[in-house]
Amino acid sequence: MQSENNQEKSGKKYWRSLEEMAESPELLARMKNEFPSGAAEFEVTPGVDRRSFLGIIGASAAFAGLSTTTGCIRKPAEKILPYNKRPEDLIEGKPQFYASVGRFGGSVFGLLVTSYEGRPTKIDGNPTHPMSLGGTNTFAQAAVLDVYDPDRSQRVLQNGKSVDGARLTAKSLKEKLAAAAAEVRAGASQGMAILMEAVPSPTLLGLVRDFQAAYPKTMVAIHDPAMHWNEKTALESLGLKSAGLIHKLEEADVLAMFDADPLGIEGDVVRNSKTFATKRRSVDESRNMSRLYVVESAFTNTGVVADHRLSLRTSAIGESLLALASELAAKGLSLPADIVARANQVKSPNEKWIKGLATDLMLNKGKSVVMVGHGQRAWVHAVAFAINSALGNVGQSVVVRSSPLPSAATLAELTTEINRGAIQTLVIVDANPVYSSSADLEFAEALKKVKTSIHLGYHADETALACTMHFPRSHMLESWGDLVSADGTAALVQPIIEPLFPSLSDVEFLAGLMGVNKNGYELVQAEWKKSTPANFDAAWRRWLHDGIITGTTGQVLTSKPEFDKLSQLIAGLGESPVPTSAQFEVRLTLDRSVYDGRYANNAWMQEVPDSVTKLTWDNAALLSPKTAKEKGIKTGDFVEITIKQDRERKLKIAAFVVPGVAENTVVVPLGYGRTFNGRVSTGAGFNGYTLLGRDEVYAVGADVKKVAGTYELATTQEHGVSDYQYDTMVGREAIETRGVTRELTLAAYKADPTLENTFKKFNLGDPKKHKTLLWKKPNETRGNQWGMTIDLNSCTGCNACTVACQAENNISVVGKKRVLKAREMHWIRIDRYFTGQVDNPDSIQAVFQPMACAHCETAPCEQVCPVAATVHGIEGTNDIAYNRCIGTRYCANNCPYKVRRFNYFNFAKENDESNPLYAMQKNPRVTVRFRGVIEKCSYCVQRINAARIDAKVRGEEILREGSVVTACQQVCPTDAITFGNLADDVDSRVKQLKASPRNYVVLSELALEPRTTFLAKVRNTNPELEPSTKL
Amino acid sequence: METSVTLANLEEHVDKRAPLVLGRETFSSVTDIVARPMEMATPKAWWILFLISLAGCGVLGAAIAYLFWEGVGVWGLNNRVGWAWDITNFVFWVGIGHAGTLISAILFLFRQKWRTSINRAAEAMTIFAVICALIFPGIHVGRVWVAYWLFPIPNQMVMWPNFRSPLLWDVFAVSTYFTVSTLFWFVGLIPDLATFRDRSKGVRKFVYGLFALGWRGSHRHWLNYERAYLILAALSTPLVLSVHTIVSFDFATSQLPGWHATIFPPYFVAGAIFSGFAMVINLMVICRWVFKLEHLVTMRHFENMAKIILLTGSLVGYAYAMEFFIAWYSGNPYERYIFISRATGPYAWAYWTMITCNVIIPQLFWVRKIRTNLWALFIISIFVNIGMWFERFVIIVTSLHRTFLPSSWAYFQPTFVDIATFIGSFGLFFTLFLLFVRFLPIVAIAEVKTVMPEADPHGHDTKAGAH
Repeated sequence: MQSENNQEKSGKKYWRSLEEMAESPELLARMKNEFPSGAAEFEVTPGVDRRSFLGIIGASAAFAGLSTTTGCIRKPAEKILPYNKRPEDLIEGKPQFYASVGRFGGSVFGLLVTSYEGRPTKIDGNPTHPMSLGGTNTFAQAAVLDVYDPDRSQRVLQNGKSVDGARLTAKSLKEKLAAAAAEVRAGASQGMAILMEAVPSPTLLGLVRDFQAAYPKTMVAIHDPAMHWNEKTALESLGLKSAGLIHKLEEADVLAMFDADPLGIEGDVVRNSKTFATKRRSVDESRNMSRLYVVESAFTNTGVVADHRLSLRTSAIGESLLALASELAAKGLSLPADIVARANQVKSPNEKWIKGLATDLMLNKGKSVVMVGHGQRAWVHAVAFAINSALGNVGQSVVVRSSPLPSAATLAELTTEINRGAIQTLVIVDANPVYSSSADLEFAEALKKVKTSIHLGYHADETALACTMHFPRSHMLESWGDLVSADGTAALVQPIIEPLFPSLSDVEFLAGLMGVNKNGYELVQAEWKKSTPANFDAAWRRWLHDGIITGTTGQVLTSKPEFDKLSQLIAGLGESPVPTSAQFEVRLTLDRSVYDGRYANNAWMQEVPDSVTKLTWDNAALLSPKTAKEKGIKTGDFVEITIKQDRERKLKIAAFVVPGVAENTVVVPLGYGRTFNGRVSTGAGFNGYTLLGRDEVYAVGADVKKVAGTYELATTQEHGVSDYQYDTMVGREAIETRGVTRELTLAAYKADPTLENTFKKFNLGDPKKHKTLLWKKPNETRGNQWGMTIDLNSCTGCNACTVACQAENNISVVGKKRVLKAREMHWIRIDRYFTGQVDNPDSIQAVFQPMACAHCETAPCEQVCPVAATVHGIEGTNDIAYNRCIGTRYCANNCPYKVRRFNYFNFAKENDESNPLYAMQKNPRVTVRFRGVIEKCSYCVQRINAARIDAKVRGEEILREGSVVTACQQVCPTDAITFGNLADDVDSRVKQLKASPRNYVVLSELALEPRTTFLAKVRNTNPELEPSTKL
Repeated sequence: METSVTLANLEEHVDKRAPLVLGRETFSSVTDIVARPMEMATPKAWWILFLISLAGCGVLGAAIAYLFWEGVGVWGLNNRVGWAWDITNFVFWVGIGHAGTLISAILFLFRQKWRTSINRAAEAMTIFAVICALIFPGIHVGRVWVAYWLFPIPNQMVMWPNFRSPLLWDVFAVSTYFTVSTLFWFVGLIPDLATFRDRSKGVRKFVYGLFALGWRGSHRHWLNYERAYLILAALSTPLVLSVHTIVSFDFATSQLPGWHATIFPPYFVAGAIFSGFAMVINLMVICRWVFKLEHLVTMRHFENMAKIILLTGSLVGYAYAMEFFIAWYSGNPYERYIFISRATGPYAWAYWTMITCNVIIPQLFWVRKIRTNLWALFIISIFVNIGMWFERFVIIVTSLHRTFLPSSWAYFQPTFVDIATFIGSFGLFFTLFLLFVRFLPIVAIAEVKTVMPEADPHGHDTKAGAH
């Protein structure tokens, strides 16, 4: 490169005078380009302020390496520059951890962010935060990649066009914000509105109030793409203003979910999973566990875990709850008379099932939970609350708390106001209503009527382009802020890295629009100084350290609900129409991968297979095999869905046949088909919002017809298996013939406590009975002997482990085309099997099984490697020397668990070429794999080694219990994964679990002696109800 | 092709061995016949075929270059099916490479004198097929630039290959086989090279002379030659059986259902002989016709080969049946599933192609009219080779595509590069073979002469013939 040559030349030359030196053309060139080693290469179009950029990233060493590359030279000349002054507390190569808090998928929970030399590389849960308890979900895991999103907004846009020339500077950003503030001031005489998401941030909400105070004509609206306000509306109508419900699943012995998915994507999933799992994992000790009933229209994570599941169209789920009320009333529960009167008119969808549930609820008064999904109408929530109240659950397992969010208008109300001409200035704080709102609202049209629309957003997305002004938003890991969880716990959002590009946080943006020139740090401090004047600095430091603002818990509301108002809600309710093959029900759901679309440009989330469908990179119209067969639709066929309500809504989308969907129902996940220019999101899926109605996430009366053409859908399971049989064929083979996943009822467990007879048929050729084995077991029993158990009884298949592993171990993304070829690289995957009759949705059950390298003692992969690249470690791990691997793939062929992944191309390099910023996320402790080598789970050997170094410092040889936590174990919101030392003279949790009768080895007859074993799933079936399928 | 001539040696007589050389060929006319392709002006047809084959070589080179540049991902493989056409082609070519040494070594030791007319071409075929075979394990690895780590070369890393790996056994087995086969072939060529030397001029004379190693045909030369030939035959004989046995260990010693079977070594050896003889028939039918070798390569030779194909084809068919029986009899659900899936699953078409080509069609050789009809021989032999390619495909791909965990079932589809590489390997094979027929004696002149009546002056003068 030019500058490099200059440097070399000039390096040898002596100058005779200062003038000569000052005038030397080389030097002038270098002056112009102060960081000469080709920082330009690193520039991300459309431009970065290189100077500040490099200043921010402390890791100049890493970048010197990147930036001196001249393109195709394999080994670039590197300059490793030590710190001139080492930052306090920083030791190169050692990670630092910072507490923060984030809002992911409608839940606020505490985080611990890992940072290497100033680069955040991993996000985990904060164990002291009550909504995380140490766990996280996929969205939190993926958020760290979003910081390095190449398509994040880096410009101020005016009418959708950049006005910054080559790049945006911090100064110019400030000027533009001041100009926007002036526009806001100019429009003060006319109507104004702030549109934001449901962000429970005291500082932000304080600023909103300040804004309203400064501009009294301001309307505040909250945009909730998934319309999750029904619960709040219901509580309000019962006289509980500004309230929210907390469900304490750890207190509940019977859980009834009506369309609710508390273990999947609704609400405080992490906390719910943690608490729910406590009553499932304990089955060995207590020989008891909670019982979960689920009524839903398509499999959710909760539905898969359910002990009893009823497949029912969304529109009839409210009626099924009424049927339950009727049954409960018949059993003597005193419910409000209005409900009983209405409920008695309802025909039960499955009398036996509802009766069984009612009996269970009556037996567990005060120890049960009835939950209703966000997609159900307000009256359903109200009825559920009435049932919970009557059962005595309220105050026990169901707690009413004051909501941290203020009352605000909805997007529909705002749109009406705009269309009325009442709003001339609209401020949108990090929301994307143009994309993520009902087609019926025609918000994009309405937006055009607003004179001044100012938008803050992370991407130059659909809304950014439609507004008159757009400002780039800082990532959560780059900004100061605060958030309050549903239970009232407040915590501070702490920046880990300076913004990579000049940008504004929510609070800086709103303050700036009011002409307040303060940064986020000052704004957040100002807010909290109000309530903590004494010794503020010490308190602040403690809050930052702990990740929780001490003493903040929400207020428990004790005011009596007024159930007499319920009659208004349920008055005039007709019976829901039964969908037919001509009149389908359409159900729109949030997506488990991209949520409402906000993670659509995140490559990890696009590639993570959906829990149930195993679909990557797309959404699809989900149909049950029976319905699809009747319609002659196969997976991959295009269907056209037409809903004729207020106006015609239409979507052409690929169909996907999957069991568990209610009959004559089509389920469409939202969040795909983004139209903004994202390099990851473009071309992924179909925009379900075009089917979304104004008020409801479902609609009856849709026409679904097969149209010409097919579409390739990339799944990670069931390649080449026919649509109408794969579920049963694959599942039966896996579960009933091979015993890959093992499952039994609680009653069976009690009857056969050692489980010797229950699983007898799977213990084919038990290796213990063989006198001689071909391969000698190493029999290492001393020191550190690593092992793992995975409890199928608590796993909810949430994929958090898959994404956490990807973040921890630098696993490449391969893209849809290669997933289609079964070349995905995930080290830990969640296998999903269906059982039951495919034509009978109620009989279908599913089970999840996380599968990663099991670290066999007599590993078949080690034996066949011709170059000894994969060998057995003395601590029982199955290690790979990537440098030694020549890539014969023989190990992968011989692996019975098929967990080995081959780099068919130079995926890591391709990932970095598609975006140089991705390299910043990489974990420096894990080798980035080159083309042509095999990779797989290493039991997070880098974490073992880090712990070993710490132990050595303490003079210990045996690592302490808990000092090594694998990435998948750490993230798991149900603590299904346990890792630890199996050595003879050590007492560890994992050893205790391996002594459980439920412990089993997958494919035990192969005598592989794997270090990872599984704990069988137990379904706590109600003896009154036949188990859905006999296992 | 007069039928009277071609069929003249088919009948067996109690008192008389059937002649192996027909017509009224003499020692000198045999030499003339064999030397003719070397001495004639290069026919146009040869050039056309050679250029086509060379183009095939180019396709192979281009496909391999593309593979090296981009990575193994240019093939249709995936994380479940880690081997497909690459190893299929390898086993296919190694299998073809079986007939040559079998004919030269084992039939030599068993004094099967009919081998003399076909052994040279069959050995050449063996060597070229093994060259084609060796390409595939070399290029199928992910990092070709370190493929040499497969060999036990002392190195600064103090790393040694893993001697437990069947892939390493392959390296030794195939390279030993290649070395010994080449030596065997070369030793057998020496007297004939000397003949060619004596008949040619200029550069050719020099080159033939160089490789003839100063052969003068003296008594001592012959004595040493015969000894060396016998020793090499003895050395090659176990190799014929071992090489495919070891190739089969790649599968048999792994634990995949469909691979892990003790039947594999004999079954693979039988299959290899089966496919090798089919290829010899294909090549010899053409050579015989083009180079007018009807008197040397007689219908009796073809019939003998057809009988071997019938035998080995039936052995292979028995092995297929036995695999099914064991899958059922073992009670192993994985084994059982994979075999049912082979016959009824997504790759059933490949399985039934294999059964048709390998088991059903060769049964036609029970009929003498068919096994003495050159067209039928030629076509059936092609079917046999198609079938044997599919056999390896079925073993490799159908076993891998549905293994122990049903979650990891996948489907393999070849890409353009897969196909181009395979077709290209035929280009290489035929390029080498065409060079061979043009420049080297395609029939072992010296050996054929030993089975002529003239070589047996003390036998029954009137009853011409050898054993």
